[in-house]
Amino acid sequence: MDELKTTDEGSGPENGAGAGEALGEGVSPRDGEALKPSSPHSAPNDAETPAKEDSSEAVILAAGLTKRYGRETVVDNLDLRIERGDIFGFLGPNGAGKTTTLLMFLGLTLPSAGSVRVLGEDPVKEPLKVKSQVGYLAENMGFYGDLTAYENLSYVCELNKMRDYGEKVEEVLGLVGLSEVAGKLVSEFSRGMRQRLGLAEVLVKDPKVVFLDEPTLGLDPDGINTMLELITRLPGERGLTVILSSHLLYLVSKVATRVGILKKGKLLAQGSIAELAGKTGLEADLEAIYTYYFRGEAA
Amino acid sequence: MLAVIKKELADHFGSTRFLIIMSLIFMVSFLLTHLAGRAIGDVLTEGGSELLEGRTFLLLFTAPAAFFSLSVFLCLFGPLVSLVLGFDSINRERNQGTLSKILSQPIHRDEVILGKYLAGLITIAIMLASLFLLITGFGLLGVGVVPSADELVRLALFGLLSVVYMGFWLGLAILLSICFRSVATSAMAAAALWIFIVFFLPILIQAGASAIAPFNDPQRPQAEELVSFTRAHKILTLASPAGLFTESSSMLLDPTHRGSDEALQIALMSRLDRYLLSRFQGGISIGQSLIIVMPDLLILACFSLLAFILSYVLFIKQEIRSV
Ligand SMILES: Nc1ncnc2c1ncn2[C@@H]1O[C@H](COP(=O)(O)OP(=O)(O)OP(=O)(O)O)[C@@H](O)[C@H]1O
Ligand SMILES: [Mg+2]
Repeated sequence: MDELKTTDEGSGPENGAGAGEALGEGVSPRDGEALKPSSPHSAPNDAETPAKEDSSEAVILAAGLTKRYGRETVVDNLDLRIERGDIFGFLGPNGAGKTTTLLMFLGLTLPSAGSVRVLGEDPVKEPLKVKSQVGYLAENMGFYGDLTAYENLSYVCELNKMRDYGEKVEEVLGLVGLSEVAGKLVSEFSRGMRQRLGLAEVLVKDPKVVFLDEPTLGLDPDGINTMLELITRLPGERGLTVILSSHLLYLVSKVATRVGILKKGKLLAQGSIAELAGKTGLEADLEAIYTYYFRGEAA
Repeated sequence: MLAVIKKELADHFGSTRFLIIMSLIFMVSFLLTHLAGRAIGDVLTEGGSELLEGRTFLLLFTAPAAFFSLSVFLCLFGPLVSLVLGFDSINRERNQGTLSKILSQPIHRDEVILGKYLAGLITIAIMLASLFLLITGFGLLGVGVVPSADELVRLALFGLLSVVYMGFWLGLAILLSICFRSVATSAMAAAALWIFIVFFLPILIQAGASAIAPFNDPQRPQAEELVSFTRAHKILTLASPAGLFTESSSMLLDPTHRGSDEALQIALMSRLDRYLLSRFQGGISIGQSLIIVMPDLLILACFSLLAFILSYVLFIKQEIRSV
């Protein structure tokens, strides 16, 4: 009963070390050394190195995190630190590597090099410890259409070995506004209702961190507002840390306390919007900052 | 893992296609037992009871009254139940995006496939147990044959053998559902494998055995030639799950270990012939049958294990994304 210990898709550690050197940094995939922040290299790269060494309050601490599919480097030497209570907006165009990064945080995909700690645990070595504390709303979350919303949630609870989850299930259904249709088959749900149910499934296990991959996908304006409102309330009411991936800058700028900008697998910048504004000499406008980084890279 | 098993069991027993294939199996089984029962009844009224003694009840399973006996039917068509239960177990969840959801919960990947496998096995066991019970009841009430304790033990062992055999097919089906992302492809592959293993492999084995141990003159085979042919055939059969199942089931269900069609022929012999035959016809005890069957049973179990290990290795390496 042991989750995978070796790397998949043929990108073994030896593979990883070699390519790490090519980047000017010998990042070993496993040992603690990999946790040391590495220096930024590509310009214009304001990517903040994790400021403090103590990882007590860091919910996510990634160092040199790299993912390659064959020759293609999809996530490139990512150093990232996300603090408790943050709402971290993960930005980047299609194919930037946002989902891949989240999957590595969860241990669903193995890094080719580098390491990450989620709540102090290594998702490669202790995937279950990570997964029991993390709620993950996938890009295109699936449900059992032949079960009701209530039953779908119950199954998630059982997989989390929760007991007497009836009340909890009803609570989260209320939270996302699905109490009324709890007994309805999910195959009869609309796109937005499914998205809400997805959020309910994420919250029902009482996670410490949630990863939301495009949480507003398919929601109507009202749904988007409810979702954003809900997300803003999570850190305060439930002590949650939220990592949110999205293309929709105006939405992210409404809720995120900090953002990270990812392009072709490289983290161009991370920090609060004010910090990034200071660094770039722009106004505190995410849209402007985003374009700055993308134009900068192109130049 | 218990959560997975529970969910899968509910799915199986609620799924239309399982209920359809199960009712098909039940219907044909009853037809076969009914025909076998009639034939047995005829023999009994003709006074052949002392000859059938000790195996009247099991004849319900082995008498080829129609096209084939019930045990042969299970060998040929039982696999379909397993395939129907398993051919889309992983890829359906992958395609509908629930696989990445399950795997982002605190559960190991192997627990998911093991849970699905065990749930399928339990379903198969429940199906076979109820089938055998119904046939026993039919034998008691319809034909009036009372199974002896010996026969009941043999039947239970045959049930175990059937579960192991169908477990192999279940493992194969789950393996296919991991290999192929498309449900339609894995269904086609399952059908192809079924036809190959159940219908072609025996022919290949026959041909292989003749190639290894050829007869000089097929019309008049020499004794030595026959022995080496039989040996070659037996060894090659080790590679055929259906062959292993057939051999073991006849060993378990036919205490005298003669072709079951002979049983009816014997019943038609003259009294003297019967008397002579019964004098020299020592039955094989359950213990002896079991010893003979055990290696085959283990090899069958190994086949299932192999399918499972392959599934495990492939599944662990796969990348799970939603859609
Ligand atoms: N299994 C795979 N094999 C090879 N390449 C892959 C695989 N999965 C993803 N990729 C590649 O990895 C890159 C990053 O994909 P990822 O899904 O992480 O992007 P993303 O930032 O989430 O994009 P989006 O905004 O469209 O969701 C893409 O170029 C994609 O083609
Ligand atoms: Mg994505």
